[in-house]
Amino acid sequence: MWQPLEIEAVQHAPVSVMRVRGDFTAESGDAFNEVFRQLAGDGARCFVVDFAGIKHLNSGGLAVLVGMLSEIQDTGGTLAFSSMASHFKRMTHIIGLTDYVTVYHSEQEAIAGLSS
Amino acid sequence: MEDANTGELFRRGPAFSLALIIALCLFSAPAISTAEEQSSPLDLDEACQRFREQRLWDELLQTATRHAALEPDRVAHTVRMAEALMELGDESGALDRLEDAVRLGLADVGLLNERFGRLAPNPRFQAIAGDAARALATVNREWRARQYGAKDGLIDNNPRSVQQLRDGRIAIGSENGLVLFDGARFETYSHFSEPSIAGDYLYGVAEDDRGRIWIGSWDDTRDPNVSGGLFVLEQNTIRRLFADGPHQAIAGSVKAVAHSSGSVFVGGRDGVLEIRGEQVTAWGVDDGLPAGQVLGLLAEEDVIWVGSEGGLVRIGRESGGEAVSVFKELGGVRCFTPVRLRSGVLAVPTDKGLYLLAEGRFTRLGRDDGLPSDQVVCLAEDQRGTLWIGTTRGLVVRSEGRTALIEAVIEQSGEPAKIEAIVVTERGSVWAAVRLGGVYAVEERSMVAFGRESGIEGPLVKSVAFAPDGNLVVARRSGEISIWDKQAARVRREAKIDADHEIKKFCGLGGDDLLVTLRNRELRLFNPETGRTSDIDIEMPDGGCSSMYPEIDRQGGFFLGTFSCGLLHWKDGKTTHWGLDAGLTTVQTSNVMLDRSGVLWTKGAGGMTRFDGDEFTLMPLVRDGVECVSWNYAEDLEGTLWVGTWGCGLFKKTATGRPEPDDQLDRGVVTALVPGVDGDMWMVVWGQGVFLAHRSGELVEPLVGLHDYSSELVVLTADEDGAVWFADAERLFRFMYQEQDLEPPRPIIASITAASAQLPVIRPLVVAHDENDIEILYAGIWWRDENKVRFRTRMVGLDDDWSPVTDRADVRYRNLPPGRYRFEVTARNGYGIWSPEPATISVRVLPPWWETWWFRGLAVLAALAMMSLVVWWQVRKYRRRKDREVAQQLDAAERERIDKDLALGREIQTGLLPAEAPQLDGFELAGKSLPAREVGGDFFTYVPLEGGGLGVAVGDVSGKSVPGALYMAVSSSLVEAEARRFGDPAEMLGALNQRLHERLKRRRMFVALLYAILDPQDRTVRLACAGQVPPLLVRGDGDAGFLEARGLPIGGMKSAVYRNTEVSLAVGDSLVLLSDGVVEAESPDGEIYGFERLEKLLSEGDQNRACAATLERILDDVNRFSEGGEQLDDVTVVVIQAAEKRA
Repeated sequence: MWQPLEIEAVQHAPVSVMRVRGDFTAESGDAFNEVFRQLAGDGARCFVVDFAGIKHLNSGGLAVLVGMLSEIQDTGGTLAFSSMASHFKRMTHIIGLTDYVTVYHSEQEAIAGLSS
Repeated sequence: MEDANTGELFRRGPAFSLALIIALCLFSAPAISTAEEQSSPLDLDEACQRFREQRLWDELLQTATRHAALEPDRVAHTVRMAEALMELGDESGALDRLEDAVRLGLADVGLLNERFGRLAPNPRFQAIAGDAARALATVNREWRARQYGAKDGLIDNNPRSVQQLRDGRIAIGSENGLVLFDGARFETYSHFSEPSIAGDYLYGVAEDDRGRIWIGSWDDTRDPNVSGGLFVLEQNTIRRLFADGPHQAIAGSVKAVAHSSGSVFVGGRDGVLEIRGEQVTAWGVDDGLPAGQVLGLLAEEDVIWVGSEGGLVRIGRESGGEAVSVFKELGGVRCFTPVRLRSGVLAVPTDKGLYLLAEGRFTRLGRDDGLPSDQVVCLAEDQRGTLWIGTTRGLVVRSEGRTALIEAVIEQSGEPAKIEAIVVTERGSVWAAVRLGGVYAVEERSMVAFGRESGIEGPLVKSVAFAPDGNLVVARRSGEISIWDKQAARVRREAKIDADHEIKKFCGLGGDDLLVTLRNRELRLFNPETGRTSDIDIEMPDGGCSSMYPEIDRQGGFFLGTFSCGLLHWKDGKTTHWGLDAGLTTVQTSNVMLDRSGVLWTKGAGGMTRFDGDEFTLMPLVRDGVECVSWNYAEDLEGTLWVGTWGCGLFKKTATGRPEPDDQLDRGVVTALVPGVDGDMWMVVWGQGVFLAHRSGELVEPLVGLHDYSSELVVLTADEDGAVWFADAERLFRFMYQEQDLEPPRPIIASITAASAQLPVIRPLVVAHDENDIEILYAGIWWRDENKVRFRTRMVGLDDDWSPVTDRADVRYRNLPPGRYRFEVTARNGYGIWSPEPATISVRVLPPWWETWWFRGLAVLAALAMMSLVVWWQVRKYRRRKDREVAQQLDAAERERIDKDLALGREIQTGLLPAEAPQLDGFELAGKSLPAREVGGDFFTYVPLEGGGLGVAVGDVSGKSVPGALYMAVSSSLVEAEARRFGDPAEMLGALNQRLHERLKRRRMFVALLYAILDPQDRTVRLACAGQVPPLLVRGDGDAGFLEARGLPIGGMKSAVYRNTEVSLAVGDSLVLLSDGVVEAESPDGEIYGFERLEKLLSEGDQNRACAATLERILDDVNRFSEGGEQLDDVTVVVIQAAEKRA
């Protein structure tokens, strides 16, 4: 059963954490990008996407993350991932995201890593 | 009543009697003249009769002359004088007296002819006889008077005024109060129950145009403290006006009230008032009125006539002014209420006679003109121009210059009736108020009986026939046959039939002869004009026939129905006989009738028999399953045959139909059926009465005026004047209804009672919901015989139809539900004629508060609101459902269209993919792409390269369906183009990223792409990966693992950098290129297929299989993993297997 993506934005200044739950696919792109751009519009530059609640991440979802990365890089910001299952971590690696994005074990680590 | 002593004296012998008569005539005159009150008119009559018989004409003349002024025998004495003078040779004197007699009311033409026949050649006598004949119309009318008194419901027996109200009721002002009579009940207002009526003796009663009844009252002679005055009755309540003055005219007695043009005129003592709204105008002695009590008023348009104790006064109001004139001719004469006659003459009753004012001159009628008294109190004129004159000595009618006393209203309590007031109702009944005698309703008798006084003596044959001249033939059983003069109302001539046996029956044959049936069953012909009797040569069956019933055949012959011989016909001496052998079903044919078509109808066994001249046809008559026998027949104007039966009432048969029972008369023996004039049908029903089915009414029973005679009747005969004639054993009867008889009753609603309270009937009735027991009393005004009036009622809104016909004059509705109704009552007269319009009154029963309009309105609003809410919700729900359905329908349609498009797209896309793998020495290739939807974003392609190499690309556009497919096509083409430009996979991907980055970024799309170049020379593969799943290397020994190759998808980042990976393959090694749809395939429980599962799949099993088999194995396994569920992502697999090179 497909579950829509839920996005929770949590501010840990200067880090903005986007907790995502459900299925992260291309269909989730609009909702995810809206929250992301709202945060970016508010001045956030450091983003952590926490995948603890993600059940499914496909190439479409990865494409969304690629697009996010592209925009963050355009503004000089930083993107990190946290709480990723191994399969997703592998996918992320395969597509080359890990060349630009640090994958942390947990959200706290990511916040700490980006805040340092 | 005969005087017994006188009768005894006469019986002692002629000589003794003669001596006594002479003595009486010679010596009684002084006694009579001096003591008239003690003399008996009967004595005189007897004496004078003997003078006549003894031809003592001088004595007769003296006696009659002496007593000619004696009432009421003036006519008789005058006739005696005339006869004596004629016998004494004074023909002229006789004629003078006869003229007097006719002027006094003599109308007996038969008597004139009988006693004065020798004067017939004298023209004067002929003129006198003519006058008498004309007067016959008046004198010969018989009057019936019904008396109403206290015993019937009047307040007393001493009425002083009588009027008809506009609604038809009779208003009677009496000594003790007012009575309103509607034919069914008396509504009384007396000073006992209505204290406001202080005075007694209600004289003046008048109704104004608003329905108020004005009443004038005389002083209470028993109580000097109570004086009369003026009262008005309005809505069941009586109130007194001007109780304290200031108008002297009505301070005391009011004896006259009249109404005209919105004004009420009141005549009191020494004056007259006109009351017009609030305005009161008075005339008194100062204005020229004579002193004394006003006794009567006539208000015309411009003139008020005042009859008073001082004479007659005319108050002229022409030209705006007023002129009071007193007529000297009537000075000092007590004048009562004047009456304007139809001729324009003003008639003024006075105590000195009836004065007639025409063209400014008075003429007077008094005792010399036949009135019983000079004291004329009141007057009325009926619709036929007959004057009804009320005197202190009785009621008389006067017509054509003749007067006749209404004998039925001749005396009360031993005194001559003193008539106080007369009114002619709108439909011809005459009501007279008689002092101490109650009220009389007088009307002309419909039934007149003629007996010995008219020359008819019995025992009569119960047959009546018409003579050729239209007069009637009656017969005594003994054989004397009389011609009865209808005009003179007397037997004109007699003849005796030459026969030895009694007459049983006779009938006309259409010619001069009568067919006479004798007791001994013989027949004779008799000519009443010549008195000649002749035999008829009819051949009777042996023994003769009993009870013969003739019917002429219009051809000079006749049929004879019999009671024992079947049917006979006679013509010109020839007799035809039909019996049972001829087809009759009974020999008792009895009455027979020829209809207008020439068909003969007679009796049959179990019905009636039709005879068309050739054969007899039996027609059954069945009522309620019982066979009936016909008895009489008549044909009406429409050709319907009326059949009277023996015990089953009436049947009718149309010209083409079968005889059907008529429910108007469903039982009884119909002994006669006689068509009357203009479609009337008379019938006699044994023991029940005479019925008239009037052309405009229903059959009613018993008929007015005939119910006393029905059992005696055998045959009716109707003449062309509309009268029916019949005879019983002693008398001849004529019945002819008057035109006013036929007037339908006028229904009125008399009173309404709701919740035990009487309510006014002039307004729509409105009652509360708990006062809904309503009783309505009604009446039908038909004064000919109010007991014959019948009703039907209905409450429109409650009753669907009229009630059954009833004689009840009240109806009660219990628990009438709230609502608006209209009560209607219609009435039927004694001739079955219904009133054309019902009397109606609106009835409204108010609802309780919880059923009131406002409460219901609120409830309705609330209900509407609720309903609106429900409807809104339902509509919303419906719309949503409909939207979904429409959407689904649209989706379905769109889907169908899209499916078609996608199918087409898939076909196109499939065309873009390689149909088969290229041949490349040292390699085997197999590839397949399965889109998740009809078209997909995955693609693979082979690009032959210069130098013999082969480029292999597996791409995945992020986005499925059409957008993905479009970009797949674009990307596929670009890949092929760029692959040919660059011999290095990483460079190729970089170049491609540069070309597509901007476009893909705008669309937020990416292309994952793995591009590999196969070098057949050394079986090496160099590849670069842009976001695509790295290839799985499967060695020939089963070792399998994904290669390390990564990079951002094309379009992900413009600055993305790609790196090449190179791998050498040995024969048996495979390199599997795939899209992420393989490793991301999901099981139904959400488990990811994953990298490891694929590695394990390919590391196990036979490694020597062909690459195509490997391809299918992968696809099968993924499909199995997904358990046939929905394919979530495109799946593309290309297997590159190193093979032996061809030689």
